[in-house]
This record gives sequence, structure tokens and C-alpha cells, in this order.
Amino acid sequence: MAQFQRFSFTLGAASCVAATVMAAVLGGGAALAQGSIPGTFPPIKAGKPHAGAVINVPSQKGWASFAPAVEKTKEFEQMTGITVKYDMMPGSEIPTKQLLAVSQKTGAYDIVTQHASSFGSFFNFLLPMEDRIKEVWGSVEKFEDWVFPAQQGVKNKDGKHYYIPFHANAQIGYYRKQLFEDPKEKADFRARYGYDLAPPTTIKQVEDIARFFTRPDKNLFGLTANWGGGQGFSAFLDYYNATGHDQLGKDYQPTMKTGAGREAAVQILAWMQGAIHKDKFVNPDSANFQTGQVSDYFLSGASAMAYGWLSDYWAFMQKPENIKQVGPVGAFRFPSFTGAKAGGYSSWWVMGIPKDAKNPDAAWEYIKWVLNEHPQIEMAAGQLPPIRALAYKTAVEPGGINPRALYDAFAEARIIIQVPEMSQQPRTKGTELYTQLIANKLTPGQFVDEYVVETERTLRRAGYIK
Amino acid sequence: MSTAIYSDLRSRLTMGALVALPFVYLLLLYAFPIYKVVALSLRDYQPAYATDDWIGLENYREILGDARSWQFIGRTFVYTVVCVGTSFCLGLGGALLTVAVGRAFSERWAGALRQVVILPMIFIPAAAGVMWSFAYTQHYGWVNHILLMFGLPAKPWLVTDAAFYLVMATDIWGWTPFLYLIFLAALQQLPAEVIEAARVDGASARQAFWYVILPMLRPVIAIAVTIKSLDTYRAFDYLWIMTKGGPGTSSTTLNIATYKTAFLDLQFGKASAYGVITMLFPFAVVILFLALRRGRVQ
Repeated sequence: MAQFQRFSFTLGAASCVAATVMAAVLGGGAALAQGSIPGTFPPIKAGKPHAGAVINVPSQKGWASFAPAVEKTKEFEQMTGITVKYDMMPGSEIPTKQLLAVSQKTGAYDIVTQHASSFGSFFNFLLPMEDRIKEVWGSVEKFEDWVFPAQQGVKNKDGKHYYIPFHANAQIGYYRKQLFEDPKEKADFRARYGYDLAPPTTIKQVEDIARFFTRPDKNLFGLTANWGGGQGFSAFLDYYNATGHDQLGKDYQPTMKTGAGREAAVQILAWMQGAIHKDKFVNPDSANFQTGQVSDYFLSGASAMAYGWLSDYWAFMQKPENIKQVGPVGAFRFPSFTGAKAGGYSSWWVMGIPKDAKNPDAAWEYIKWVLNEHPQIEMAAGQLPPIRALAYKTAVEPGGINPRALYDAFAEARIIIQVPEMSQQPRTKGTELYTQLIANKLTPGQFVDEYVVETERTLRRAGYIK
Repeated sequence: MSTAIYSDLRSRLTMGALVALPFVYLLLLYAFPIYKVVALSLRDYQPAYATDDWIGLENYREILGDARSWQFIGRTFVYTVVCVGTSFCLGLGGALLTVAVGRAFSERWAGALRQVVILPMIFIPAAAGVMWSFAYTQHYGWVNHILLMFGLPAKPWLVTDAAFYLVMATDIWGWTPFLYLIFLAALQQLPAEVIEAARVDGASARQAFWYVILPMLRPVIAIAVTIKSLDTYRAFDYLWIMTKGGPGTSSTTLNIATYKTAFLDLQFGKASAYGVITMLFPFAVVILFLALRRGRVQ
């Protein structure tokens, strides 16, 4: 009996030990399930905790630089068991369609995809990202250091992040190397202007080079640009920012209203208007051109330089079969009108998670995945990764697939919309006024006056100024 | 007895349900949306800033107090009148010419002419808008190449004052075949003996047209022009694709203004007010049309 009791005790003790070991193993297993998939950063949760979830992700139809992410989505789905459904919409519907969905709490989207010129309309409908950011990066500061400074511009009034960036781009200049390196052209240029023909570093040089190469009899213009409609207005804001001015001062007053801001704005607008209508070194169609048309025009050999979002086409422009007409293409940072060392317009695409998302945690896994080295490296053929180190790798280090000028331009670029309310009415009015100006129907002074009035009206209505 | 009553009741209920169906359809798909638009037009509804306040007629006051809105209204009528008027003349002229060619030469030639005239109908308006936008560019556009051949200056026409007129020309190009086909079908259905009798009685070709053909065509013309007017009045595709209402607002009509206010400015209350103002004209046309019809019947 005693022996049996001893045996029972031993068995009981062994069972306890075994149970403890099992618990430890299972606990470890659970810990492992909450761990991350090796080689991923931001880390994707291992163990497929959201398997079976379906997330709806809105994006832009025909967007070449996001296409690699769409193509690689299968990998994310296999990794996580989450199914991604894309709602591809025309670029013009990006703000409105999503805004109507989230404001009506339809639960249609698990993610909101916005550009930094329209992000402000969504704050009321998004979940703050602070806790998720801290969980991944350790602190908000570390996250902010990890991406470009442009991210500071998309914070809410409460100082919190509601968005994570996934795409960066800036407008820069492009030139035809064959023309710039042609000995005869170089000699002629030097004889006429007294300095060497090279990618311009000042606006005066842009103008000289553009005038030099403008030869209407040979169907050649010095410069072509995306100065049509809304893109043209963005180009103006890019040049204006690069003079060191934000649109609004610290007191929320429009900086264009008086003083140096007004002078810079008038100077830029007069230059753009004159370049088409008076000096004629920019092709007249530029007044209606969007990016794709600038690329076509430039690659057809009809201009010596180009300005715009052509980094979308940079990889395309490096292939010999695509540049038969123009030869190798180089890039340069478009100079500031005042010589200021300041950043221009930053194209910063961001993702947020709406309050009515059906699967917010699965959506967060997707956002983290989009920020991973892959697909970011694949996407870099048409953009700059928003992660500083990765952007440096793709644009500055040898063998990078982006032009260095793009990195340099973006490193200082800023978000154009400083208060959310500036996203809509002033932009529509600004575009209307700009199209009148570029059609030579409005003077730069009139543009500035009317744009300032509209900006003040919006700021007053929103309570920033009295 | 009770079975008969039950059967009668069931049949009445079925009839009632069938009669009610169109009313339910009208209520759901017409009356309710219109009610919502009117209700929204009385609010300052901007979801982006969580603004949804009752403001009465303030949106209307703002729109009608803005000189630009009156330009949009005027431009909408100019667009409608010019496009419908020109398409009507060209469509009727083309149809008469086709019939004349068929009689003077052969039906084969008339058929060939018909194919040429209706060609623009195969283009989707969006694609046609892009095609014509290219045609008016300075560098690529064939319009400018022709002008240069005649020593005339080339311009990026869609960023000039001519933009609005060029969009109207495109609309006329795109929609004249619609009226042409209706008129051609109507002309081919006219009793030949009536026209021949008029000619035998000594009527000239012009008199036969004015006093015989045109009166017989009147019902078809009334319907075709009404449909075309309402359709042109709500034109959007060519205007948006070719000019986006610009340069500035020089080609902005009521529809473009409504779209920009709603989907660029995100001011849905004000956009609804624009929508209500836009609806007034079609209502007036329909009421006028019904009144004329009733007058004729009586």
C-alpha cells in the first residue's frame, strides 16, 4: 500500500512536471505564434493569427508604381492567410469615393489610401496609429526617424499619426545627355552665354539652356512641363515651396499675401506664363500637359529638358529601346527661384485604417507588408520608398534604380497642405485661377490676390483666423 | 359564396399590387432621390469636417448671389441651344440629302452616305473626347497641321477662349448622327403620294418641304428635339474630358459646377442646390411638352 502510495505520488509528481513542461512548450508555442515571420520588417505576425480575414483596399487604377505591390499580394496572402481585395478606382475618385464610404460608416474599406494633398478630410474617420507604431518601432520618434521628414506634415492637430506612408515622389528636371554633351552645342553655348553647358543649378541657367535649345524650325523646344490644370497648380506650389515659403505662416496667414512671399509667387507665375506666351522656350501644349504627355513629348525628341513627375518613367527611360529618339536621359534637381535651399512639393501617399474597418488588425498587417523591403524595392522603379535608408539604397548607392536628384529633392520636400481644410476649396479655386493664368487671361498679381482671398475665406470658416 | 368573395378579393389585391408597382418604382427611384437632393440642398453638409447643419436657403442665396453661377446657367443654355440647333439643322439636312441621293442616284450611294454620317456614333463619348483633345494640341493635333498648311497660326486650342466653342463643335459632331437617323427614318416613312400630289399641284421643292414634309415631320421633330435638348442640357463627358470646365471657368456649365462643388470641394449641400437648380429646366420642358400635348388633344 505504501509502495502504491509512493508510486501514486511519483506518478502525480511526474504528471505535474510533465504538465508543467507541456504548458511551457505550449506557452512557447503561443509565444512563437505571436512572433514575427523571419526577415520581415516591419514584422509580419507569424502563425497566421488573422487567417480567413478579407480586407478591402482601395487604390488607383492603372497606377504603375503600385502595380508591383498588387502583383506580389499573393505572397502576403500566403504568408498571413489574409485575402486582399483591391478596389481600383480612377485617380479623380480617390478622395471622394473613400470619404463617402467612411463618413457613411459603410464598412466598405479596411484601409484608406490618400495623397498628402487630400489626407486632411479623413481624420474624423480614422483610428490613431500611435500604439501600433510603438509596438513595431518601439517609439514614435524612431518611426519618424525611419521615414522621410515629410511624414511630420500628415499628423493630425492632436500631434498623432493617423497615416503610414508607402510612396514618395518629387518633381525634378530631366535632360537629354546627347544634346548636353555634344561638342558643337557645348561650344556654341559657351560662346553665347559665357559658361559651360551642364545641367542647370539656377533658374537663370534653366532659362538660358531652354532658350538656347528652342529651335521651332527644327521642332525643338528647350523645356516641356506638366503645367496643365491641377498638375500645373501643383508645379507652381512646388516652385513656391522651394523658395523657402510654406503656404501658411505660423499665424496661419497666407504667406503669399505680402512681402517676400508675394514677390516670390508673382515672380514664379510670371516666369511660367512668360515661358509659354512671351519668351516661348516652353512648348505651348505644356499649358495643358499632364505627366504622361510630358513624357511622350520629351521622349519623342521635341524638347531638350523636361520637368515633372517623370521618375514614374525613370526605369522606362533607362532602357535603350525606349529612348531611341533622344538617347540617354539624365536628371537634375529643379533649381529654386530664389536660390533658397528648401524643399518643394512632396508627393506622399499614405494609408490609414478607418474606424469602420471590419478587420483593422489584418489591415495593419497589410500596411506593414507594403512597407517591407519587398515589395518596396520592386515599387521603387516608379517612385521613391518613403523609408529613408531604402530610398538612399535605390537612388544614391551605386546600382540604384532611381536618380540621385530625386532623393535630394525629396529629402527636403514638404507636405503642401498644412491644415486639413486647405485640401478642397482653395485647391479647386487655385486650379481655376491657375488655368486662367497659364492661358494668359490673368496676371500673376491677380492670381495671388484672388487665391489669397479664397485661402483666407477657408481659414476663417475653419476658425484658424478671424 | 365565401370562396367567390375570397377569389374576388384576391384578384383585387393582385390588381392593386400590379397597379402599385409603377408607383413604388417611381417613389423609390425618382421621388425619394429628388426629396433627398432637395433636403440636402438646405443643409451645409461637408462630411470631411463633420459639418451637417440646417441652413435653409443659404446655399441658394450663395449660388444665385454669385455672378459666376449666372455665367454657368447662361453657358448651359448657350451650349444646349447651339448644340441642339446645329445638330437639328445638320441632321435634318443630312437626312433630306440622303433621301435625295437615293432618289437621284441609287440606294447604294444613299447607304454609303448614311454610313459616313453615322460614323461618330461608334465612338464612346469619353474616347471621342480624348481623341478630339489630341486633335486640338499644338504639337500632335491634325487641326493645327491643317491650319499651318494654310499659313494660319497653330495654338493649343483647349487653353484658349475657343475651348468652349470647340467642345460644342465636338458635341455637334458626336450627336448629329442621332438626330440624322431619326429624321431619316421618319422621312423614309412619309407617304410618297402626298408629296407627289403636292408637286403635281404645282408646289415647288421648297414649298413641298415647308408646307407638306415639315408639317408631317412635326411630331417626330418634337420628340427628337425634346430628347436631344434634355440630353444636351445634362452634357458632361466632352466638357469634363476636354477642358474640365476651363481655362478658369470659361467652359463651366451647371453640370460641371455641380460636379466640382461635390467631388472636388466636397460641399455636398451646395452641390445639391446646384443640382436642384439644374433640374428646374427639364421640369419646365416636360411640363410645357405635356401642356402642349394636352392642348392639342383637347
